[in-house]
Amino acid sequence: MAEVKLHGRWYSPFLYRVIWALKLKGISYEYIEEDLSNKSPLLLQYNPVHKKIPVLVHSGKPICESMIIIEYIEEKWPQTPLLPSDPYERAKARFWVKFVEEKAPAFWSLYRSTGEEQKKALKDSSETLKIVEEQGLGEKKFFGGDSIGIVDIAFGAIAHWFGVFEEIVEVKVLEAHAFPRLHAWKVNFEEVPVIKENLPDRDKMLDYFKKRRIESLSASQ
Amino acid sequence: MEEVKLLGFWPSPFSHRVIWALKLKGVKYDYLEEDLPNEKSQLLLQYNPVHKKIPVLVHGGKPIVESLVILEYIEETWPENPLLPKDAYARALARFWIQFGLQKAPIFHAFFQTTGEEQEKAIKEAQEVFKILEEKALGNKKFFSGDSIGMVDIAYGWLAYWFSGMEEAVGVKVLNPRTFPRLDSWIQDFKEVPVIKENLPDYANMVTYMKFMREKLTSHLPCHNH
Repeated sequence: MAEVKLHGRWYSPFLYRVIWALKLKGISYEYIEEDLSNKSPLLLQYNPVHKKIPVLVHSGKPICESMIIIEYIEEKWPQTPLLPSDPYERAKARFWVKFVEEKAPAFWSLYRSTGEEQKKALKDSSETLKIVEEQGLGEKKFFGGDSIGIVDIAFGAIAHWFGVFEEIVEVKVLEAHAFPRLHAWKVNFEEVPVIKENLPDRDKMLDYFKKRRIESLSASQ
Repeated sequence: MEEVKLLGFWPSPFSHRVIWALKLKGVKYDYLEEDLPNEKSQLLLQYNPVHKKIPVLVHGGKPIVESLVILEYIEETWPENPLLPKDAYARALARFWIQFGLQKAPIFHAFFQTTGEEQEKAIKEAQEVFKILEEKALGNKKFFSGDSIGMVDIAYGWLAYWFSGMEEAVGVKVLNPRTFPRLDSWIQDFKEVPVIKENLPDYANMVTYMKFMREKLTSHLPCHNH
């Protein structure tokens, strides 16, 4: 069996997308924690263009960018498919993956900013949630239908980390009364065994992201 | 055979990505021009409610939107003359470079839509992008995809033709052939591919359109160049 290694950082939502894909397909891998403040020569060799994690290394060959890694995993290990088989349905799934990736900055911005900028992030993230709920999810339990798929994984990471950010900045956006279906989706998503058993420790996350926010806000004074 | 329609806009590089893919695979389609400077058609709003943008590919009445998503759909639906490699790892690399172009798009928007210091910064960043493309994506290959064009070349098609229109509209040359000889060779070779050569908007008209857009986007800015 060819070797699979995954380079990541414990608090990265992009890392977790890949972990979920690997675990859902029952793929064994070795995890390597990277220190992003002191990037290893190996990381710089594997991802010279972006110098970021996650990087999946399969038989010594590196693949970068979380959603590209997932498309690769899907092609190499077809069991428990994460994409539909019909090309039109696949196009719809890829559309929503692209959409949430494009709109993700507003979710980070809610956490990173204050004042007017944060107000804008609140507005933008709410608008995105509305579109995702009404046009992406619709009446389905998961974006993938009855079971989770690539869109659930892509957006699930954003949504989970967003929940942590909401707690830190004390602004609730993804609430049951505002987004009933999306809220239910998030609860269901995080109850899926592979997801539930593979989330970073919440207290550790709150602690880390709180500290980081204080540091970055004081640095920008 | 189910009907294929393409909603496009004549100066759009994104429209052209889809045209090239369909033509390379010999897929027959009906082309519908959207009158974008004026009003978006009811059909467009119905087919692309989220973004309200072209291109839209309609296959058997079902709309697919976002040019890169459309390319993957075309590749899967019409496998002849493949635009992506067979090997999964090579495909991941191709997708990486397509994604890279997407990630760096804001730099080129900034180049086109700003003036002064902000534009200077964009020019420097654009040249860094060209360096990476030349050294890491293209290397010694004729095309990004190897000996013949593929999805990566199609994705960067805007750079081979539209970018010089942008440079003319802005009045600044950024992609200097002497600084980026391999990228320049790629540009010349890409434009010579018959399907590409026969499917490009008229150059003068494209430049006029770029100048019109540049003026529109920068008229509110101080010290803008004409």
